[in-house]
This record gives sequence, C-alpha cells and structure tokens, in this order.
Amino acid sequence: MQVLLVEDDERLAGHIASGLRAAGHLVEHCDNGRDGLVRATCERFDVIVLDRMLPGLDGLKLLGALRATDDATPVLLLSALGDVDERVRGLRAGGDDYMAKPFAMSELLARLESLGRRGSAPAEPAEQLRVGDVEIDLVSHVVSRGARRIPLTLRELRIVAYLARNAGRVVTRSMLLENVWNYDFDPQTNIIDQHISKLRQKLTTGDEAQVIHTVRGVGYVMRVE
Amino acid sequence: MSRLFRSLSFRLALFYAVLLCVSVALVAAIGYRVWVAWPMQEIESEVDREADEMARVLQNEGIDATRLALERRMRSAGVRKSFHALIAPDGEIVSANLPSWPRRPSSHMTLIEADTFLDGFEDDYTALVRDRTFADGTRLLVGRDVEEILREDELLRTAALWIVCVTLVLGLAGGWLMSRAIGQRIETLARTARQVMDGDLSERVPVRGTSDDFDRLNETINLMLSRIEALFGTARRVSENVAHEFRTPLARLLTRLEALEHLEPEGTPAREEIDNAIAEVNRLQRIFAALLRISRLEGGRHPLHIQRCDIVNLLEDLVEFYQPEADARGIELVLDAQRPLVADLDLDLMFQALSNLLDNALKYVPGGGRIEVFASGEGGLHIGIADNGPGLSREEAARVTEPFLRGEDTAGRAGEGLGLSMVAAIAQVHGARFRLEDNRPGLRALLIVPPRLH
Repeated sequence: MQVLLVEDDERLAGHIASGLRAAGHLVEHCDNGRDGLVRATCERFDVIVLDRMLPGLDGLKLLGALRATDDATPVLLLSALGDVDERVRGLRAGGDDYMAKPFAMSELLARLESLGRRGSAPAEPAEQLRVGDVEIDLVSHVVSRGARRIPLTLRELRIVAYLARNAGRVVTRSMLLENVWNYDFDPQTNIIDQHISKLRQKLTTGDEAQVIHTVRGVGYVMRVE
Repeated sequence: MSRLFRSLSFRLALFYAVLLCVSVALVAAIGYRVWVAWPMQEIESEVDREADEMARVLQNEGIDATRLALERRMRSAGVRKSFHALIAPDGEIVSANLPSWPRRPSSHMTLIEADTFLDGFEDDYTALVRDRTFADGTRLLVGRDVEEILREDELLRTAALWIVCVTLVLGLAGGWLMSRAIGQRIETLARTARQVMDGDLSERVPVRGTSDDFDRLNETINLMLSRIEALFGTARRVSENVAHEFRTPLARLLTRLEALEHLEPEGTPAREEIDNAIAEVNRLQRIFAALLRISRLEGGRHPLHIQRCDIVNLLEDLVEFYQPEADARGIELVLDAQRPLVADLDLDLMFQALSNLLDNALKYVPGGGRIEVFASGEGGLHIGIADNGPGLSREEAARVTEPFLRGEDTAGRAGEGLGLSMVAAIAQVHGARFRLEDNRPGLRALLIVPPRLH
C-alpha cells in the first residue's frame, strides 16, 4: 500500500516508516501539516497516518481541509490524546480510525490493512461468510463446519463474524473490543483471550484444523492453513 | 426543637437569660434587705424597748399610770403610728387603739391588722406587736405601724417576679432569633464545605459585604479554598502533563523494541528480554492512560455522556464478558437483578467501574469461590459485586482507593493499582457513593447512585 505518514516527531516517524516498509508498504513522510495537506491532495495514497498535533497545520484542520475537497482516502489518526472525546472529535472530523500513543507497530499495521482494504473495496454487507470449511450465516445466525452445526452465543457469533470478515489479516484485541463489545472501556486483564479460547473449543473438535490463530503479542488471525 | 437546643448560640442566649434572672434575684434580695428587713429589725427593737418600758411602768406604778404612759406614747409617736392595748386581769379593756388582737397571747412578735375608721374613711395599718401577759393576768400589747414596709416588700417581690419572667421570655426569644441568624450563616458555610468535600473545589462561601465577623471568616475560607484549588490544579496538571508528555517517547520506545523483536529469533534470551521490555512499556501505557482518565474525571474535564440505561442489560453484558474468565478459574459468577431497573448514567464509565470491580473480585477470589453481581433500586440505585473471597480489613478498605495501592492476588498477577481509584472517580462524577463492605465472608463493593430528577 501507498502510505502517507504525517508525523512531526522525527524519531517516531522513522520507526513507523521502517516498520511499514518492513511490512512491504511504500511510505512517504511529511513532518508538518501544510506539507502533509499538499502531498495528500496532490498525490494518491491508499491510506494516510496522521498525527493529531502538528506544527504548521493541526491534524484535525488538515483532515477537515482534505475532506472538504471530497478526498475519501482512509485516514488513521495518531495522537497522544487518547480520551473518548478526542477520538470522537477525530472521527467526526473525517478520520476513519484513531490510535492513542503509545501503540504497538503490529496494531498500527493491522488497522492500516483493514482501512486500506475498506478504501479499495466499499464494504457490501455479506449475508454469508466462509473461511475454509467454516460457514457463517449472518441472517439465520447459524455457524457450521462441514456437516457439523456449531451452537454459538450471539457474542461468539459476532466475534467469529468479525474475524471472518478480516480473514487472513491480523485483528488486534482492541479492534475486537471496539467492534464486538460496544463499550468503550479498558479491561485490566486479557479477557478477550478467554473468549477466543472458548470459541476455538467450539469451532475445532477432534482432528479438525485450527481456524483462529494467535499472533503473539498482537492479536488473532482467522485462516485455514 | 432538639436542634434548637443543640445550637450553641441558642444555648449561650439561654445561659445569659438565666444569668440575668439570677442577677435580678440578687438585686431584689439586696433591695429586700435594705428596704424591708433592716427597717423591720429596727422597728422590732423599738417595739421591744417600748414594751419593756411599759412593763416596768406597769409593775412599778400600777395599771392607771401605765394607761397614761401609753396614751402619752401614742401622742408623741414619730412618723409611724403607735398601737397598744392594755387589758385588766378581769378582761376589761383599760386602754386600746388596736381594733382587735389574738385571743391567746403569743411569745413572738406578731402582725395584726389595725385598720382605723374615721369620718367614714378607712386608713390601712398593720401593726407589729409585742404581746406581754403578767403574773396577775394583766395583758399588754405594744406595737408600731409597718404597713409601708410591707407594701415595699410586696412591691419588691412582684417586681422581681415580673423582671425574671420577662427576662426569661426575652432571653428565649432572643436566643431563638440569634441562633437562627447565626445558624443560617453557619449552615451556608457547612453546605459549601460539603460541596468542596464532594469534589467541587470551585464552590465558594457567599460574602455579604457587611464586613462582620462571618464575612471576615468567609473571606478567609474562600482564600483558603482558592489556594487549595490552585494546588490541586497544579498537582493534576503535573500528573497529566507527565502522563501526556511521556506518550510520544513511549511510542518511540515501543516501535524501536518491536523493530528489535523482529531482528531477534524467537527463544533467545535477548528476545525474551525484548518481550519483557515491550510488556513493561505496555504496562506503563496502561498506567498513563488510567492516570489521565482519573485526572480528567476528578478535574471535571471528562465530558459525561449521560443517557437512560437499562441496568440489567449492562450487568448481563458485564457477566457475559467475564464469564469465560470465571469459568477458567472455577468461580461461580451469578447475576441478581430484576427488571425494570433504569438510571441515567454514562454507560461506558459505569461499565469500566463495574469491570474494574469484577476484575478485582476475579483476581482475589480463589477457585471454587462465588461472585455475585447485583443491583436493586431501593433508596437510590445500588449496584455492586459481592464475593466470598478473603475480603479486606477495615484499614485496607479505607485506603484501597489510593492510587498505586496493590494487594496480593491469588494468581500472582500484577495490577496497576489504579482500578479502585478509577471506580472512586467514576462514582464521584455520577454523584454516587462507593463503599467497600464486609460480605461475611468476603468483600462487597457497592456503588450507590442517587435517583436523578428530570
């Protein structure tokens, strides 16, 4: 993906850029808001990583100006301000996702990939999802693997559906928390792991292959190996 | 009424009223001594002297000479009218200007009504009389008019009674008025103190501008509150700035560590150290995020999204979220709440608070234990988590909302020690009370949300 990184902290920008490049993305970097806006409007990017507080032009103003030109490039806001209201303000200004500093590079990558995909193919709500031999019918709330019907709670269905929609891509714990549980809160333990473990037990029996894989320190990925 | 008696100003006013009554009684006693007792004693001595003299005349010179002496005495009496009666042994009145006298003689001084009638007019007299009976049966009464002194006595008694009554009534009424006036100003002061205690440091005591004692006291208290508010503000800003300023360097550190992690193959000691360092940075991040949130909540800068919530829904979600953890630890997790239970709350904050409480319970209750999530709507909304774990001592319960205070949990997991501080801050912004009680055995963490008015 073509990524525009607008971040004034040089060292942090360096680390992010090298992390993104290592993951196979092309990265352009600007260290102030004005340059960032010029690059964003003149060139075509798959996704923009935008710092919230920037010299020259504030991140939110940049975003506002960009959206005013009908530019719909997905933007991930990055900020030291992580409170709900800051996030709401960022998302209302036209941001597509929001991450508070400090963040794990792996989570940034996972979120960028999710955003990039959304940008390229407008989401058409699918009624049926399929990952390998796991089938999810979102209308009838039926999940089956081969001939076996798997009884799931509504929450487990939402987890597996979210993972299936992002099949093959890493989904972080915070992404799951945001998308499956609609409470904005910070669990003090890795409780999400327990939910996944329970789900795994239901999805995989006997010598069936595992479909939900843990990506250590980052999150989960749903795929059939 | 008992509140009135507990009021210091009323009790002071009452005390002064009683003191004044005692003073009036003392003054009346002195007046009695000067205007009544002493003149009465003088007259008694005079009457005694005269009675002695007349008795000597009677014994030495006989009954006729005594009659003449008594009549002479009557004419030569000074300001006070003289009275007498001389009765022969056969009962015949030899001489008397007393209208009547007791049938039986008395050895004490006696008071006898001695009103006189002259030309249809009555003159009121009271005679203080010495009564002597001689061996041959002659009876001699000698007395002096004390009507005026008795009138003064009565006047003094009546005046003292009235003054005492009026003083008491005025003292009580004044005390009530004074206690009301002072009580109102003290109540204003106490109300402000309570609001400040509830976390509103911007509250101030009203100053009337009369420069009286209360105004001066209120001004001083307001200055003190301003100073405290400034100090709190500084402390909060410092912790907030520290947490905030460290975020970008932490982000740098984390990305650098992650870059290193990719360079180092799994399983080497260096990789393990890098992973530990990443875990530490993540922990720091959680601490800073929690500190910032607590600081914003306590400083009233966290905008609340109050909405009408179904409490049972909220608790069902909470129990469902933690059920896998409870199952994994072999703990029975139950919900006890009956619909309908609605309240106006910030849903996310309340979920965070209850999540912190339930998380704590899951940490400390050993396997095989029981945790109950409950809610009831009697006397405000009571939401809480009760467990049968080890519980907390009274001292621990009092200190447990202090930041960075951690207990030993059953799984040896380290928390950040900010969970209960956050619960306390969330309770405070909801105007709720947060209490930790003994569940006999175990701990009962309770949030009491007051009923909200619409």
